[in-house]
Amino acid sequence: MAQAKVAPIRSDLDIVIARTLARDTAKTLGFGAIDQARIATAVSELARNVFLYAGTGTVTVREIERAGRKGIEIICEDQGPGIADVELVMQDGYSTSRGMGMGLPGAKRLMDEFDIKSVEGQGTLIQCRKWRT
Amino acid sequence: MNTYSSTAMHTAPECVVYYADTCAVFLRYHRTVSAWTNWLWLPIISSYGVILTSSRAERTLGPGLVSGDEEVSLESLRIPILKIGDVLIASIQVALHDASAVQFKDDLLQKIYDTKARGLIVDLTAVDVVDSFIGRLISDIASMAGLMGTKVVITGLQPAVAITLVELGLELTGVMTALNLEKGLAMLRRQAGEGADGTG
Repeated sequence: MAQAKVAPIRSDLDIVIARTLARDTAKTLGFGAIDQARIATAVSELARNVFLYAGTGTVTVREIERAGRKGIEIICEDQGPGIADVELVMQDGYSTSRGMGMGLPGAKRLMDEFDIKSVEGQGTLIQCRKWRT
Repeated sequence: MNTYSSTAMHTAPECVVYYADTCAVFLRYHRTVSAWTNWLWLPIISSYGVILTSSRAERTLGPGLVSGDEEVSLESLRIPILKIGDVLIASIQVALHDASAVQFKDDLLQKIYDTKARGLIVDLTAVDVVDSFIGRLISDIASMAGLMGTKVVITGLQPAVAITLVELGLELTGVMTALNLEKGLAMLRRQAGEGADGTG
């Protein structure tokens, strides 16, 4: 299994680099064009959240396998202010900044599995997966 | 594009030039004094000569291009806006990062004002990711240009981008779209015709 690749997020330019990494990995894993776009868009949303709210963080992309099925896993990590009410930010239309409030719920819809852990004052960890059909 | 280099790259060439020049002076001096010391200095000078050549090449490119810093990337990402008749056409061919997208919006609105364009086509044929930020920017461009009296048509959305946009929850309501550039131009022309009929 291929090694995990890490894209550091420090600027808006890194958002593009992170989503390109995710797309390239998805392509290598045999995902179709539409799934590649879904994965790249989800990573773009997650990476932008890191940049906007935490300033810096990382996006890790790796290949996964479960019961003979291949997939891609995206782990988004930051040591930012964290999210006080995770349920609230997962609601459509909720936004605290210049976004449209689609970031997290949108990314969740684009992926198959989505898990978010956040501790106020410590940071946020988002783990999401998409399986190849 | 995103390779960061230390400031040493900017300062090093000057040192090298200085060092090579000093060596050359030394060599000339030693040639006149004693021929045998040449073998001592030649390898040193020739090795620095290589660095000297590369440092000169870098200097002709300019320090920004060598360092690849963000400012240069921003400049190179500037999207050209073309004018055909009274329609402006901008085709996005690169992956837009946030700052360059905002720059693009500002450039477009200024260009609309300067050229008094009646219509604007933003062609997204080469764009493979439209996230919520770029999506919102596109709606913003459409409403802002609309306020200025210019009609905006978005053309060439890839199937994957259209699917992702709707799944993301962004439907770009109120933004005119056309399958491709040709149909987009026809759409603007038709609207202009209707407008002329209405007033005439």
